[in-house]
Amino acid sequence: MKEWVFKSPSGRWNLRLTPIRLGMIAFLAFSLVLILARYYAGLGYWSNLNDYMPWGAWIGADMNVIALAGAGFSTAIITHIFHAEKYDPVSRRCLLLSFIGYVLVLLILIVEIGRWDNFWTPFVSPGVHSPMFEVYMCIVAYLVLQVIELIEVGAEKVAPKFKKKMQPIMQIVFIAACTVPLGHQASLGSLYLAMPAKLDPIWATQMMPWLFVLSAFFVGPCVATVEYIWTNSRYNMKIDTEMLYGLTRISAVLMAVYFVLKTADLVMRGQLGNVFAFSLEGNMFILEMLLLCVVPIIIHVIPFGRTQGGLLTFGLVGMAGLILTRLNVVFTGMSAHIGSLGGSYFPSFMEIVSTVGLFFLAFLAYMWVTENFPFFFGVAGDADKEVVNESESGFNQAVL
Amino acid sequence: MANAVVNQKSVLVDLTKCVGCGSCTVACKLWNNQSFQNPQTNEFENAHGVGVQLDSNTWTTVEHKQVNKDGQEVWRFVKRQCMHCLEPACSSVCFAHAFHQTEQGAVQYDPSVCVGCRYCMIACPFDIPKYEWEKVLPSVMKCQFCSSKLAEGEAPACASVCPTDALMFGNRDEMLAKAHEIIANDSRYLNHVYGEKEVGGTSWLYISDVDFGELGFPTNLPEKSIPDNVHGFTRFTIPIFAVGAAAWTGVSLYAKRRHAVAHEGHHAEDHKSEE
Ligand code: SF4
Ligand code: SF4
Ligand code: SF4
Repeated sequence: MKEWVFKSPSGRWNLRLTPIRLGMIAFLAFSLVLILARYYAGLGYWSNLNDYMPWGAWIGADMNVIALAGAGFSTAIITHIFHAEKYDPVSRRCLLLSFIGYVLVLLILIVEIGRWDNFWTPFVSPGVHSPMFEVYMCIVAYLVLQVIELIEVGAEKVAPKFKKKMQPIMQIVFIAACTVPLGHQASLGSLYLAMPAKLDPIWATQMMPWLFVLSAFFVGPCVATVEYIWTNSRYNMKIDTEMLYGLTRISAVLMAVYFVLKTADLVMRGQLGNVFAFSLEGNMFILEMLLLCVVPIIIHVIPFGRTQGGLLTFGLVGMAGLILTRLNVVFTGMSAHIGSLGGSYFPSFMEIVSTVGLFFLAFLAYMWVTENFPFFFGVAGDADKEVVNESESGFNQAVL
Repeated sequence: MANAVVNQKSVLVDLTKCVGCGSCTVACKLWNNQSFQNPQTNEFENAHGVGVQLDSNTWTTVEHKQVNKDGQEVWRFVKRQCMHCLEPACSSVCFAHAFHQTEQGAVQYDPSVCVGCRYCMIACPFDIPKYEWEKVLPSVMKCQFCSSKLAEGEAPACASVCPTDALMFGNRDEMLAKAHEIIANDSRYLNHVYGEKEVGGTSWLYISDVDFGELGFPTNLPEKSIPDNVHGFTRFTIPIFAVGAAAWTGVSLYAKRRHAVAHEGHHAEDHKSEE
C-alpha cells in the first residue's frame, strides 16, 4: 500500500499515513465539525434523542466499548493473577487497547452529556447511591491505574532505569487494576435495575450486574484473539494457535456458565415462555444467546476451533454476541415501553457520524502507538533484551 | 435512604370530579413563569386537551381521554405531573446528587450540579423529568410541588385554583384516609388508591372509577421502591472490592508459588524481576 512516513529528527518516532488513514482523518475532521456544532446548537438540534428516549446511540456505544475494553482486565487477571504467563503476549496489547477504549468512552460521554461543563460536580456533590456514581468513579480510577501500567511498559523504550524503580508498586497496581473493573462492569448492569417495570422482563433481572461482569470477562479473550491474529498476520509474525486455543478455552467454559446462569434465571422468573413467543424481544434474545454462548462453544469443541480461522471466528462471533447483548438492553428491551409512551428513536446522522469519527480516532491512535512502541507485542520477561527486530517483524511498514 | 421529610404533604386527585377545564395547568404556568410555547416548535400550545404531553415548559398537563366504561364511551380528564415519590428514583440514581426532598416531601431539583446524564429521566417510573433539548446548557425540568408555597403551609398553585375540588391538599395520612373513605362510601370507585403503594408510595394520590391502565397510568409497578431495587446490588459494592482485592492477592501469591515450585526454582529469579 502507498504510504508516507514522517520521522522525527532522531529517527526514533514516526508517523505513517496511508490513503485509508487519510480517509479516516478526513471523516474525523468532518465529525469534529458536527460535534462542535452540537456544543453551539444544543443536543436536540442534530441528535434524535428525545424526552421518551433520553439514552441513545452514544450510550449504546459506550456500554459496548466498556464491555469490549474489558479485554484489558480479563487478560490481566489471567496473566498477572493466575500467572498464566504464556498469555503475556496478548495481555500487553489488551492493556493498550482497553486504555484507548476507555479514553474513547470519555470522549463520547463528553459529547453525550448535556452539562459537560459540570463534569466535575459528582466529585463535590456525590450521589453515592447511584450506580452511575460507581461507574464514573471506577472509570476514573481505572484510567489512572492504566496510565501507571502504560508508563511502566513505555519506560522500556524511554527510560529502562525508571521502569526498575517502579517495580515495588506494580504488584499493588496490578491487583487494583484487576479489581476496579469488577466494580464498573457490574455497575453498568445495575444501571438498569432502576427500570424494572420498563425493561422487558427477559432482561430485567436482579442478576444483571453479575451477568454483565461475567460476559465482559469472557469476551476479553475473544477481543484478544481477534486483535492478535489480525496484527500478527499483518506484521508477518508467528501466530501461536495453541496459545490462543488455551485462551479461548477459558472463554468457552465461562460461556457455558453464563448460559446455565441465564437459563436458570429465566426459568426461575417464569420467562421461558416469553423467549419462545416469536416476539421481537424473544427472537433478539435467542440470537443474542446463540452468538454470545452457543455458537462459540460449538466452534470451540469441533476441530475447526483449533485452526486460525476457527479461532478468529470464535472471537468475532463472541464479540458480536456481546454487542448484541448490550444493544438489546439499551434498545430492544426498552422499545416496547418507549412505544407505549408514543415515542420512538433512531440515531440521527450526526449521532452516527460523531460516534464513527471518534472510533476512527481511537483506531488511528492505536496504530500510531503500536508502530512507535512495537514492544507492546513483546514478552514481558524479555524486557532488557532487544525484543523485536524491526525489519523482521515488519514494523517498518504501515498495515492499514 | 435518609430523608428529611417531617411533614409529608399530599394531593388527592379525584378523577371522577375533574371537568378538564385546565385551570390548574394555567396556574402552574403562571406561578412558575413558563411560556405556553412548545419548546421545540415554538408554537402556542394548551397544556390540557387530547394527547397533550409534558415537556420542559409544561410541568403539568390535563389529558382529555375517551375511554370505554361498561360498554359506553366516556370522557375522563387526567392530570399529570411529578408524583413526588416517597422514595424517588430520580433522586437515588442521580450521581451528582441534584435532587433532594424538602420537609414537606417535595422532590426538588438543583440545576447547578446536574451533569446532564439524563439517568433521572429514564429511571423515573412515571417518565416525568423532561429535558431542555433546545438549550446549549440544558436542565432537567419537572414539577417542584410549589415547594416554597408548601413550606409556607399553602397548597400548590394547581390545587388552589381547582373549581371542582378534584385536587384535595393536606397531610398524606389524612388524604389517604379520605381516599379510602370516599371509596368505601361510593360503589362507583375502584378499590385502588393509586400512589398508596406504587414504587413505595407517592405524595400524589389518585382515585378513579375507570381502570388506571386505560387512563395511561403504569400498572406494572412493583411495590418495592426503585432505590431499594438498585440498592439490592449497590450494597455489594464495597464487599466486591474488598473480597476481589483479597482474592486476587491470594490467588496471585498461590499461583506464583506453584509456578515457582513447578519450575524447580530455576525460574524463580525471572519471576521476581518480571513482576
Ligand atoms: S415521579 Fe419521577 S420525577 Fe417525580 S419524584 Fe418520582 S421518580 Fe422523581
Ligand atoms: S441528568 Fe442531572 S439531575 Fe438527572 S441524573 Fe443526571 S446529573 Fe442527576
Ligand atoms: S383545575 Fe381541577 S377541574 Fe380543572 S382541569 Fe385541573 S384538576 Fe381538573
